[in-house]
Amino acid sequence: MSPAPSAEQQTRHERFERVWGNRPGWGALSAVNHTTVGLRFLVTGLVFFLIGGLLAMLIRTQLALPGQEIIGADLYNQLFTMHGTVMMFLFAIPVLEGAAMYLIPKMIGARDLVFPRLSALGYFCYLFGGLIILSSLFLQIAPASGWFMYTPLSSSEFSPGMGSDFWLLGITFVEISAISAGVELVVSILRSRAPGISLQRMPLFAWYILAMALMIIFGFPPLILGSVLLELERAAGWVFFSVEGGGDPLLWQHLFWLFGHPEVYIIFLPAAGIVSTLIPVFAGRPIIGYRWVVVAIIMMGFVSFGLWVHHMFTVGIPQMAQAFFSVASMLVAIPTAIQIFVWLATLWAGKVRFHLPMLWIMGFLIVFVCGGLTGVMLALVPFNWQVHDTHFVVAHMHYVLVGGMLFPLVAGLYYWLPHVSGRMPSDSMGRWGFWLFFAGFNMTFLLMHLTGLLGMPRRVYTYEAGLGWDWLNLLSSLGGFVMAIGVATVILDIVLHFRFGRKADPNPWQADTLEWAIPMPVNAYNFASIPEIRSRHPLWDQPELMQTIPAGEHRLGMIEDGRRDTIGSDAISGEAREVMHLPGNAWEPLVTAALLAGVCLSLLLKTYSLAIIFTLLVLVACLRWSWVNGLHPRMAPRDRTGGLPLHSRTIDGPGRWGMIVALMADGTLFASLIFGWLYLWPVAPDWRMPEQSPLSVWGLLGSGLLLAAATGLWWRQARGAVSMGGLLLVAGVGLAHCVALVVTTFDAGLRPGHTAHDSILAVVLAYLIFHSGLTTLLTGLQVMRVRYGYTSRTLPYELRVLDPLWGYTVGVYWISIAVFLAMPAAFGGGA
Amino acid sequence: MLDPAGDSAHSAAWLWWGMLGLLGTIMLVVFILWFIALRRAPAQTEAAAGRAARWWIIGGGLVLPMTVIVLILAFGIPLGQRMLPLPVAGGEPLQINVTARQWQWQVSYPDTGIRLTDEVHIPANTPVDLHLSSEDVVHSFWVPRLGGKLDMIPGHTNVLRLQADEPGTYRGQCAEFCGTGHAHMRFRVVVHDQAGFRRWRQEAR
Amino acid sequence: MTRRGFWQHPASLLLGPVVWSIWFVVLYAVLSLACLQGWLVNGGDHPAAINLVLAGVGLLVAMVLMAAAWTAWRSPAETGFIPRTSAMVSACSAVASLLPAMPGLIMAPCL
Repeated sequence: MSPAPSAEQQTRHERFERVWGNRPGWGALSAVNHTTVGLRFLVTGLVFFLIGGLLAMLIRTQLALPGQEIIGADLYNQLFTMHGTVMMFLFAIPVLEGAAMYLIPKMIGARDLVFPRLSALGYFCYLFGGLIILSSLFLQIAPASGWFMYTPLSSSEFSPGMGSDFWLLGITFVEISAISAGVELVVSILRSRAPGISLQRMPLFAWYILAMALMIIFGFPPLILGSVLLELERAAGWVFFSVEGGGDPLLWQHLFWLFGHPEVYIIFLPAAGIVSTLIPVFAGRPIIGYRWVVVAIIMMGFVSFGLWVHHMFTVGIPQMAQAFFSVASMLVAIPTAIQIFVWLATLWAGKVRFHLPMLWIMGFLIVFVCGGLTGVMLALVPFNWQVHDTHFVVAHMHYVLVGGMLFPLVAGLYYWLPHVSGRMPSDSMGRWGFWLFFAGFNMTFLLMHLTGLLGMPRRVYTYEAGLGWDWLNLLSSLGGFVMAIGVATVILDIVLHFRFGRKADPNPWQADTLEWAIPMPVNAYNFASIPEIRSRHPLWDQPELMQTIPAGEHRLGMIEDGRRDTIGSDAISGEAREVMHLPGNAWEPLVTAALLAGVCLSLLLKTYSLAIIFTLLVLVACLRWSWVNGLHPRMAPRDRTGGLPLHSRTIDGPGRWGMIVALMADGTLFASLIFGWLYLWPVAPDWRMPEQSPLSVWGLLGSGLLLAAATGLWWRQARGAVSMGGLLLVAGVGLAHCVALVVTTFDAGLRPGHTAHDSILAVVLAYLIFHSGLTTLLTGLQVMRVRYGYTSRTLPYELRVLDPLWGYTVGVYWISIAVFLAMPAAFGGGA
Repeated sequence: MLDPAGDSAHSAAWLWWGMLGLLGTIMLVVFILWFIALRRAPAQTEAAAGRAARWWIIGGGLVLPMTVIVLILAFGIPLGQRMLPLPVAGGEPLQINVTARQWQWQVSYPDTGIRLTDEVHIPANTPVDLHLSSEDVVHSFWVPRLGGKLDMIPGHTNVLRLQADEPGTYRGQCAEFCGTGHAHMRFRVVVHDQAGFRRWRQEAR
Repeated sequence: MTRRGFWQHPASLLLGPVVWSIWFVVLYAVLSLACLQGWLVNGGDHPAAINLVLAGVGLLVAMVLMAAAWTAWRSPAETGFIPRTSAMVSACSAVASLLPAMPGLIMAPCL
């Protein structure tokens, strides 16, 4: 730091650190700070990357020469399954989430994400889930049916071991972290920007992350549903994917790729966000075509959900349906091309400084453009029939994923390293690392296109000599090892820089975004005061912020009552609306995640009584968490004098936003379930619909009317008439509804082990019971909180958080009646 | 598949070379533009930069990909259409049923009742319809030199049309991962000339 | 919210893509069901009535979105960012709605 901080600044810093810092020693496990959690995600993700890379090295060793038997077929299948799984679920997504968690608050001028404890929970779920999945590899019972887990190969008949269970349960567990990161990032970006950052002044990176987070919200639920259904089929013998009984293996493929394709863009968007952040900085000028990029992001976010069938061109779907998926797949080239040319135009108009991060950006460009173009080829159906599931696709996919994700990620790592460490990376070693990696990568994968065109299929553990594949595979394997040396060089460079790197100047790259106004190395609270932003490029247009922020000259420059707080702002205009009071270090996330791991493990070991106990403990932990996390008078003793209200005194705080975003994910899960029903009904070869629904119509209608009544009563409570008696009545009617629903369910005598029809109904009913029960329980909790005075007419915040859940519960109930009861009645059972 | 010996494979190879030429050129041009952009000195006003940028984005970001897409689809879709099992003028094409299971291929000829394992015999220059299904997990039927692949899914029957140019023996293999035996799940396609096929049929029956 | 207000609101950014999504789902669902149930399919290997219907609806959706884009672009605005961006997104969605229905003009629906 060039000007030494004044004594006053130092005191301020120490005060802030006391409130915002982590606890020492083991207490650090209770940290919830986004800087800490984000870095933990990054480091853990990089460790998983190394493990995934190691698996890849084993794969390449086995394939280096024809007819080798170093690794047998069974182990090889475990290796490639785990390579894909680890790289996708345990490296790519979590690392980018971690980067976003670290950067987003700093870029938009906030002190933390709005749900810090949720981020900590997400991290532990990720860590424990990852360890559970990985442990299967050491026990040599890893999943071996591919990262795509196609049924029936992954079903209990053809994969009797525990491998598939590890995958299904472990991945679902890890996905808790993705969903929680998604909710958190959406709400943080929309509601906690520094005053003045209207939507149009948001850094592009925030737009990219907003899109990514929303895509997670809509993209992951189909896979979660698919995993749950497949696990039910494996463990309990229910029917969803096996032809016998009325399932269809293609349903799994649809659900998987409904997630799987958007997932590629979930990975690509944040990486493109890094590119769009770095290029203007190194070109020394604002990006050209900011609006075009926003348009491209929005289009990409949507269109990428319309491409999933292009992974299924060879399953025998009607040609015309394939044609429009093919068209949609090619359409996605347009937003990509827009971004490529925006970056080109920006470089064209600027004066480029060529530092190490730019080298990786160039690598990204070359590799990614190549991968994108082979993607256009693959989108063409007749060509796809030839090369689908060959090494051509392996090559394409690595060009897109490594090019579209790893290269920008490393560029970003180098770029933001000084932010974390306060030191600059070495230039020469970094260059060595890049060129080794780049050369090795192309040697491996450029040749692999040809291997595929010569007819080598994917996922074979060995091949015969003399088919023209020998030399290509050998060179690919050699390239793989060169690439590994490159990775080692980069890691060494990064590790050494913490010790030997030159001290970085403030804002070392002359960047425009707010995170560089934070003194380096990074502190726990980001900004000692939160400024008013008047530009899209705050540090270029308001350079005084570098001094005035640490000097505490802006808002919230003092710690009051020892609380963590940041500014909540309007989602559109960015005007300051409230002071958000953020929770501090806590053990709840670790405890809850550990209990969830208990659920996961006991399900794996098929000790269901233990699983029930753990589930109840999770429930207790969550309720306890919601009890203490809420805004007690102790935590929020008084309103501020003048200025902005505390968010707990508002009716539209972050909690309500979080609830709505979480319900969007929930709704997507429900919609996927409806999709499964409407898909199996006409398509599954053995589908059997009973003449008359086994469910009692009167029972369901009666229960539904009780639910409607409860919601109506709730509506009045949440909008002013708060009273203990009123809420108690709501909870009572809700309870009656639950009881009626449970009775109707058990009365129906469903036999989910026999038909897909009954299996789906059972899942739907369980879903409804879960939601009704949860809503009623939480309302009961509110009764208690009114009693203690935590919720009241003047403090309706929590009621407003719960409000959307009631609307959702009643909504899904009646939609279910329409879709699962009325539709079969109208369009014919029997069949 | 770069050495095609069947109708569909010819089309796919043709598409490959065409797309490689077109898209490869685009790729090179983009790379060259980037390198120029990195080296050149910006001697423009902000207004000129904005105007130039609009051309970059509209030209490169919209017009270029749209043109390429329309071009590729205009060639690709009709070619894809021709690979389908469309009705043939003058009678039904020869039907062969192939059922896959871990890890072998059961081939049967419904007209003659011939049954084979891991071997398919077909006449040259005649369209053949393979009715593909599976007894257990998902497999995929692929003869790289003759044409595209098609999945074999339990509960479903997919029809693949193949037509070989000339007699010979071609290598086929399972293209959808199907468990431990996947790498060894191969078969042979023996293509006879018309007379040879009749003779084979007599002997096999 | 007034009509003019709508284009100021970020929700208008999502209008085009949401319409596109619904249309895409409808297109896929109607075509699949038509093939299963034999609606307007004519059995042949040539473009059938169902294709023309879908292409027609696709054109209609595209035209509506273009009209939306036009209105957004022309809407009076103190801050032009959101209306302009909405207009561009809607126009892109119009193209994305039109193209997927077009292969039907040369293809048979259900092969």
